[in-house]
This record gives sequence, structure tokens and C-alpha cells, in this order.
Amino acid sequence: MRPSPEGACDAALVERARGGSAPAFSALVQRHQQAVRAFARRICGDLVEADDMAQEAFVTAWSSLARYQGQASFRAWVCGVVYRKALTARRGALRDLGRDGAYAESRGWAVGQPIEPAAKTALRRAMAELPADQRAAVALCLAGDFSHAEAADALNLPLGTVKSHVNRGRSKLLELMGGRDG
Amino acid sequence: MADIEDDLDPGPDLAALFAGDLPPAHDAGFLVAVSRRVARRRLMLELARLAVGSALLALLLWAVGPVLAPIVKPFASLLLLLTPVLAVVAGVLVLAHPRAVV
Repeated sequence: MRPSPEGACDAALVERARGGSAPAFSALVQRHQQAVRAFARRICGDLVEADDMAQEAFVTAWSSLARYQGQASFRAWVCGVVYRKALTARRGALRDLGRDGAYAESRGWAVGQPIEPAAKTALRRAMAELPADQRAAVALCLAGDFSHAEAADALNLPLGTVKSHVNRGRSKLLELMGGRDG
Repeated sequence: MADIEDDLDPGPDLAALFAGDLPPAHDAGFLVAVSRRVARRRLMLELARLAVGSALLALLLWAVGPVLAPIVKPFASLLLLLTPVLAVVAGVLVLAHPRAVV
């Protein structure tokens, strides 16, 4: 008798999903959706767009399972897909919006979003001020529970670069939010 | 080691703000949305596979047609009668086991 998908480790679930098991892939989605969505929200800003991006990332992961060799953790791999999608979307949006640099303000603060406490809004604004790779490193290592190595796998960056992004990102966030770096 | 732990500590202010912004740990709606998209992608892949398979089969029949024609000709009237039945059987097979057929 096969173990239930909920109890299996990621590698076993990936193997079963690769063989066509829908429950195994659903278990992977269920297990990692929180981390992947949180990451998408933090690098993208807009909740609806972030969820859409996270869903697409899981679909891309499903169709690319044959290429996944297990060198990075599954969630790091999917977060890497989200990151690449976010960069592509950002480049496309920048092209569409032209030169005026209004991109960051036009996203993330869309009309119709619930009013948030000032501190949360300030954090989102501060995150939006960080460069894309720094923001992604902060989103994974500080906001998420990724190790530096896992984040390096996800972002396809050297470990030292990720560490430096996290340190600089944290300092900058605290500075922008009026806190102190300690 | 302490260095690494320090790096991963966002500080009390940031940690609280980040923690308050997490999506739910279990979200059936999200899971359903992903499953629906995966099913759609799977269907598109199956259709593409079937289309390619059908085109290849048609090409093969076209290529061997001149060789097959004299052999099949004596059974032509019988095959003509059986065509609707064969079409239905083929349709059922394709719908039931698309991967096995193509």
C-alpha cells in the first residue's frame, strides 16, 4: 500500500507526480503554497497578481517536473520560477509604461485593495524601493524561512551575493521605515 | 554560525510585520485554482499530442496508399459498410485512452 501523499517527503511526491499522480502534485502545492505565495506577494506587491503568478509558477513546475533534478529544494525551485516570471513581468510592464518610472507606484497600490495598517503599507513601500534581487533575497531569507543556500538556489545567485543582499536589504528596510539597524 | 543566524534575523519590528502578512497555511481555493490550470495544461498537451499523432498517421497512410490500394480493393465494399462502426470504435478508444492510441 502506498503512503498517503500528505506523509511523503518532497522527493517521493515529485517522483510520483512525475509519473502522473495528481494527488502527489496537489500535496506538493498544498505543502508549499504558503511560502511560494508569500514570496510572490513580497516581490510583486499586488496580491491578486502575486497569486496569479504563484499559480502559474506551480503549473510551470508541473510541466517541467521532468527537468527538476532535485539539486534545490522543491519550494526553492518553484520560488525561482516565480522570481523569473516576476522579472519578465516587470520588464514587460516597464516597456509598456515607458520611461517615467511610475511602474512601482502603479502596481501594488491598486484601487480596490483593502486599507492596511500604516506599518504594513510602509513595509510594502519600503520593499518596493529595494532593487529586485535584493527584495527577492529579503523576501526569502528574512520574511520567509529560507536559508541563504536555499535562496541562492532559488535566485540562481552566488551564496555570498545573497548574504550581502540580505544584509543590505535589511539595513535599507529599517532605514526606510525609520527603525534602527541592530 | 552566529554570523549566519544574525543574518537571518529580521529584527523584532520587521519579523512581526512580515509574519502578519502571510497567506493561509491551507487554502483550498488556491489548490483548486492550480489544479484547474494544470488540468487545462494537461488537456492542451494531450490535444497537441493527438493532433501530431493524427497528422503523422495521415502522412503514413498517404505514403503507403499506393501499396495498400490493390490489397484493400477487394474488401472495399465491406469496409465501406464497416466505416461508421470503425469510426465510433476509434473515437471511443481515443477518448478513453488517448496516450495508448497515439
